[in-house]
Amino acid sequence: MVACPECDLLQKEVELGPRGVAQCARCGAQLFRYIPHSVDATLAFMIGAAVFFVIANAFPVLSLEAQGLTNSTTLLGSAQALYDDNERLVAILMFMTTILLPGIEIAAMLYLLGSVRFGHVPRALSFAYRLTEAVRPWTMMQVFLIAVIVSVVKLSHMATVVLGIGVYSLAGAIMMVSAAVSMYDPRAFWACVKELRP
Amino acid sequence: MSTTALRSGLYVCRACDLICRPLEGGRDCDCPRCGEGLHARKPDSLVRAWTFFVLACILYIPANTMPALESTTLLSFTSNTILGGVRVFWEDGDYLIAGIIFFASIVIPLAKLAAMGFLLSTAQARSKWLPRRRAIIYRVVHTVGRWSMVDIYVGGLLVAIVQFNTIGEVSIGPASLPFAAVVILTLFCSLSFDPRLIWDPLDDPK
Repeated sequence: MVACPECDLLQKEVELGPRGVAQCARCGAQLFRYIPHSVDATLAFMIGAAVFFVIANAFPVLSLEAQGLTNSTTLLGSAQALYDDNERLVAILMFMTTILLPGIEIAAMLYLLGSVRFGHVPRALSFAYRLTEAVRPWTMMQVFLIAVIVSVVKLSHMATVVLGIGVYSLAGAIMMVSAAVSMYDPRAFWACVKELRP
Repeated sequence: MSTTALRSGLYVCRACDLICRPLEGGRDCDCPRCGEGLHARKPDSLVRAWTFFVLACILYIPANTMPALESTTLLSFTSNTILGGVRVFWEDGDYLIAGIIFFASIVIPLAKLAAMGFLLSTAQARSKWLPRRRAIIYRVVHTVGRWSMVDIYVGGLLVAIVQFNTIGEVSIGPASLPFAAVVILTLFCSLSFDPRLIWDPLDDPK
């Protein structure tokens, strides 16, 4: 039996073919999917996401050239600028939604899937799992990317704007995380955990 | 005859979707698989969601009337509300960007508040009206809400990068804090709302 997470209806589990999606008979919410090799695929994309994420944070996202002066900023730099501009709360919010929480999501997913993939039950299994679930609604890297585009247009009237390595890596990280999430099947993950437990 | 988990005396874990049998006497317990606290429905869902909703509605006013971005150049000082920022993009001919900001900063927060107000009052009244439609509204509201943060991030980027003393400086205005708060509060509001409350009145034996 499965229960719909959105309307609580109990229904029989159906067998799905590869890439099949089971929907709730009453409210249409997605109940579960069948993704072959879900754990492997999710882990692979998350490793890619981690690499891009580190690069995205290490290099500038934007540079501005005007009258011989150059100014550039990183992801952290823009949150820092808000902090120095005395918008502390907004700065902390920006830091959390674009850097800290996406970082936590990637790290926790790597930890969970990596442990299971290489044959042992992660020690902080329940904590790390609940962390990924709690953090997911608050990660906003995609939104930040749109903000970069908007800023480029806004600034292009007054100076030369150069996109940095950070932006391309950020786009890479976003694509990798989305791919990982689309391959992620919590049921497959829990099935692996069950097999590993004595 | 179909039935719900609750009517069969079962709780569904909200983190890992495991179906669990709660302890006798309704004592608090955690999901045996992932350790999340088990509840039949999200605790105090309506009260919490209403609180976040009302706070968001109040802060929506300063978020839209106070200046969001202030820029200083040698010759001028300009300050714009969010809507004023959209107008600047539009007059500069950047229609796409004007559209994105208008949609993300004005349309989405308003639509989200309206939708949550509608969902909360119908759930409160235990309405049986168009449950499937309302479930879809909830799903859309929940996924679309985060896009309102665009304006905040643009502010951060501009403040960080436009720091040439000779040409100009940008700093964000007093609207950004209430605006960010509206985005966060509406997200908390949709997270606290339990979509199963849309369906519960239909499952009443009456």
